[in-house]
Amino acid sequence: MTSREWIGGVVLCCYPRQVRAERGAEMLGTMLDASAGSSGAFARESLLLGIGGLRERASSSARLPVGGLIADGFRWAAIVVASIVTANLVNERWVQHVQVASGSRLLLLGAMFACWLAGYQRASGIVGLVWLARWVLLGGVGGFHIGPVVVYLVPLVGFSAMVVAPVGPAREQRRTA
Amino acid sequence: MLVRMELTRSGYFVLAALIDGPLHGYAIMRRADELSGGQLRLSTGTLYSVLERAVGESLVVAGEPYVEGGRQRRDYTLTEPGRGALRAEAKRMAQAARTVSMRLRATAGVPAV
Repeated sequence: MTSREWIGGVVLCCYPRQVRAERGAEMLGTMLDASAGSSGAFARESLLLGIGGLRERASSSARLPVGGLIADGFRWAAIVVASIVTANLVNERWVQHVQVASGSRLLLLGAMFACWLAGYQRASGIVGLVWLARWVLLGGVGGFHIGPVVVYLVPLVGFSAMVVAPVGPAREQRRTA
Repeated sequence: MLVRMELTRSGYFVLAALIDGPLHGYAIMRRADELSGGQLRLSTGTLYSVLERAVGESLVVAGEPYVEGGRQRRDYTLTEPGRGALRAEAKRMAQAARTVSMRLRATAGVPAV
């Protein structure tokens, strides 16, 4: 496997698992042909493929019934909150060089994102809940605070929805059929 | 939805690329580039997004996957509804071009700001 194939495979993780299983190899082949010989073209193709994958995930949400749409909204909100916290931790650790104990939190967040991108929503939700429990109980914001309930509540509902009702390949297949 | 009132620009050239016969993804990209005179640079992400919607709307059918030169391929074929959508869009664009050209000729003496 070439490095481009490996990178392309990682970028394809932006697509839902169902799409990857059906067309992943074909899309990767097309992308490699379209960007052959030029690293600039490869970077552009990779970026646009990643954006296309995230767009596909978002548009698959739009095809859900109302209840599923609300649950998916919470799932996405949990991902957004986790992304903001991750960006903040990365900034503290590698930009501002603040010596905070962020290693394990970053590890948990990384595992959560990896599971989510790979399509293992239930596993992602479980890791997300562990991260959230650690964040709330062990002082992610300087000790236990009940004040910013919404900040905790939204990802709590979102990660719980991932655990209780993950949108797996079988359900995706049913709703796109 | 690819066809609501009119085809998207990408959708139009992707369908147009299939007029002469079935093509796989990369061949569609090259043909669409030719047909648009190099003005449309389809990315892989956009291509497959358009193809998925076109297949969903029965404008195109996807063939079985096969391997060619170490790459997995799948040929896409334009359907009769796809030809119809393309024909309707070409007619609509020609009509729009005629209307604008006529108005421009009719107002040739009007000074532009």
